[in-house]
Amino acid sequence: MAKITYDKAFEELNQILDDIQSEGVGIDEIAKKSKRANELLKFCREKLRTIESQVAENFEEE
Amino acid sequence: MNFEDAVWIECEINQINEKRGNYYLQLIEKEEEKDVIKAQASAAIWYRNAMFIKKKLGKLFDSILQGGVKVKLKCSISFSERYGMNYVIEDVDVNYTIGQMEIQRQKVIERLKEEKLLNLNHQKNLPSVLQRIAVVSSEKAAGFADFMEHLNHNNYDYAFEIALFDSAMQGQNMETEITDSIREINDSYKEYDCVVVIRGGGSKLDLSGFDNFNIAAHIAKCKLPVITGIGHEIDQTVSDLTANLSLKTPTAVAGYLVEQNLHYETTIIELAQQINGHIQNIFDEDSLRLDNIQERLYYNIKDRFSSEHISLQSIERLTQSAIQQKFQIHKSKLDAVNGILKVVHPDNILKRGFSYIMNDKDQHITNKKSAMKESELVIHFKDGKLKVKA
Repeated sequence: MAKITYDKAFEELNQILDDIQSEGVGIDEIAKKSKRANELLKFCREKLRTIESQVAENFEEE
Repeated sequence: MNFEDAVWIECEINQINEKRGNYYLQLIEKEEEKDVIKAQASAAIWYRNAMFIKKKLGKLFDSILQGGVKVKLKCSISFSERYGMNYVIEDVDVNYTIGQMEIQRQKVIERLKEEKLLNLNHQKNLPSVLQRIAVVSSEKAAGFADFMEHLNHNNYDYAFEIALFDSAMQGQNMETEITDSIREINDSYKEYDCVVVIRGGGSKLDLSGFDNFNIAAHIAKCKLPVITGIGHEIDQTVSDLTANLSLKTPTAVAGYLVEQNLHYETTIIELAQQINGHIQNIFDEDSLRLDNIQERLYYNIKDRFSSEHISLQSIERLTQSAIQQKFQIHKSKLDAVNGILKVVHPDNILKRGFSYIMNDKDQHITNKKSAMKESELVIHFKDGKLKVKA
């Protein structure tokens, strides 16, 4: 997870959403997909906050 | 034999020597406008007369009684067998000499005008910076030391390169030496910014050498602009007229040189300040522009972050609801199955009036053949069971 970029993570998240919304994914897979989706959400949120606070700091340094 | 009365004669002094207080002169008369001598005579000023004339003329004595000067002399004529005829000079007419010099001076100016030399040196531009100075003067000349002192100890520490072209500043050698010096300067004129001709104060007669045509003409034709500083406040020689710039004294020339450089430096400093000002303005403007970009960047990023947060929230919600929906669908399917299962449950069948038969070992009896084998059968109704003996 550490190596993934925010954009890639976001893309995967959307893919999972598409998958879940489609008929193709069975209930057994849902657990796996849902777990992955939660990981990705957590990652994206953390990354977003980190970058956000970094940017804010950078602007404050000026 | 002696004339009884002294007479006034007009002539030019060719040579003069002094010996034990007595002066011996050679007098000449030249053809008008030419250098041809048409008459000459010897003359003397005896000690006693010399004392009288010196007292009368003061400082002018040396200026008037020198070679090349036109004079009006009061002479008596003496004759001795040993020395022959001799003029004995008793008095000198100062005004005549000054008048002659003024006439000569006007003639020289006229000639310079005719030969278009009067304004020739004026047409040369003095450079903005005057540092390499060719000085035509004499180390012994009055004013030269002042000039050097003024330049070398200027208040602004400007450095000057002075090349002295030592020349007589009065007397008979003046013309040759000054014109030679100017020729020498012309040969290497690129090494200098300008020429300076200086000589400190003196009487009008002392400075009359600068009314010489050749000197004035050489100054006019000099390849470099010439600045003169000859004499005191009121003197204006012909050389001053032909020079590029004529200042009153050697010190004034030194002051001018320093001032020119100061003027140049001030201009440069002002320009530098203007450039700095412009640069500062550009920096200020750019700084404002950068501030502006920074602000826009900051708010754009902020917006971007909030929209990302919203996206994440909505994706989370969508995922959850998609999962919920999926569960819901499967739950409905399970409910349907459950319903069917309920319908086919034996209890429900019994309720509808059916019954089923088991043996005493609780095994289902579903056909006649197996029923025949049993000794006892149990019939299950909706309200209980009934044992039947075979």
